[in-house]
Amino acid sequence: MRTSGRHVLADLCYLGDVNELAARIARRLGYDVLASPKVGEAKNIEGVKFIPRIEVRRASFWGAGDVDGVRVLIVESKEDLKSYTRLSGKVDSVRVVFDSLGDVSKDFVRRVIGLGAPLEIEFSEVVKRVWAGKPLDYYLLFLRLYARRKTKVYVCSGATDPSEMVHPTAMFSLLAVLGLPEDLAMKAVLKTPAEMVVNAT
Amino acid sequence: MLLEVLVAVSLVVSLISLYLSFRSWLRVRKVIAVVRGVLATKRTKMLRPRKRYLIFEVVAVSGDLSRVRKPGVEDALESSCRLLYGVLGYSTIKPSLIYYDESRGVGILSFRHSWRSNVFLLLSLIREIGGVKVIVIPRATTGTRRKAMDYVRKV
Repeated sequence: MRTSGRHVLADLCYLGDVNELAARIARRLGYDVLASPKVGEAKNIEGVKFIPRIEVRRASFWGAGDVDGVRVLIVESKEDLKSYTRLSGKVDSVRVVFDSLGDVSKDFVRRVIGLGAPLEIEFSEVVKRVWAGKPLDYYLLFLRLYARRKTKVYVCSGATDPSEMVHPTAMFSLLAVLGLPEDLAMKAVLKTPAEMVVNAT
Repeated sequence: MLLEVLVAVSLVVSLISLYLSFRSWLRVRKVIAVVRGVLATKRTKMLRPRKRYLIFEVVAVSGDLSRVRKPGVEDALESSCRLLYGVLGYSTIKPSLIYYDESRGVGILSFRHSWRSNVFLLLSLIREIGGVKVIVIPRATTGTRRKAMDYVRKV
């Protein structure tokens, strides 16, 4: 299971409490960095670095200030990516909330590609959709775009509790099961998050 | 004397030629196998099912690890597999818990090699065994049971 390799292993959406248990479990799973919205500034607990995850919406984007951390743009409607060129370089990643989005047009996809920021795929959300029998069409669309090198994608756990954290191999397997080539799946789990951590800190 | 020398030389030459022809036959056989493999499309290829042995570790997040028993692990594996991949998937993957150390929480799971990713995904979805919140961490995959047991002894 050589998932760690030379890269810094990072889970960029840990949504649970930041404490020693979370750090210990993260360490067991091989993570070096966790990004959490419950952290104001970077701190180290039991050898695991917790960095801030700043979730910003289009309406409040310009008032969010300049804070060190992973800046994630939450896209809930097609309007959120209008005049995307102004956002380019100011966000580290994009998270699309598919439930509130409805149908997407080619124009929306063009904007996502034009923004150039990696797209976030939450492991727990995909699994919830699978258990609920909901379609994974949008995820497959973005994975197809990623496979054609149009955009970048990374996977994070979306854990709200230490017991919901997942091993990087599981994330890699999810992408592989969804049909992504193994090298690209590996990149989405290891390389892209590591690059984002370096840029954010 | 001359006759004996000639016989010996011819014997040596024939032995060398036999060795060379055998070596070239092996090479040609290898090339033919490679060419056949390249020409064979996915439709004509039917992979021989091989077993893989996955060494995993159960980590208790809340609760006591000693309450996680082998039957509980087997049940969790079977129910998750059936739920995620259905009856057909379950019988194709054929996961079976061949070893589980209850004191350390280390186990060996065997499955069909072509379902590796599916098994990793399956393990990550097991969150509770016997009322204990757990995380199942895959440690290594081996091709033989003996190597898997060696790995377990080293862990």
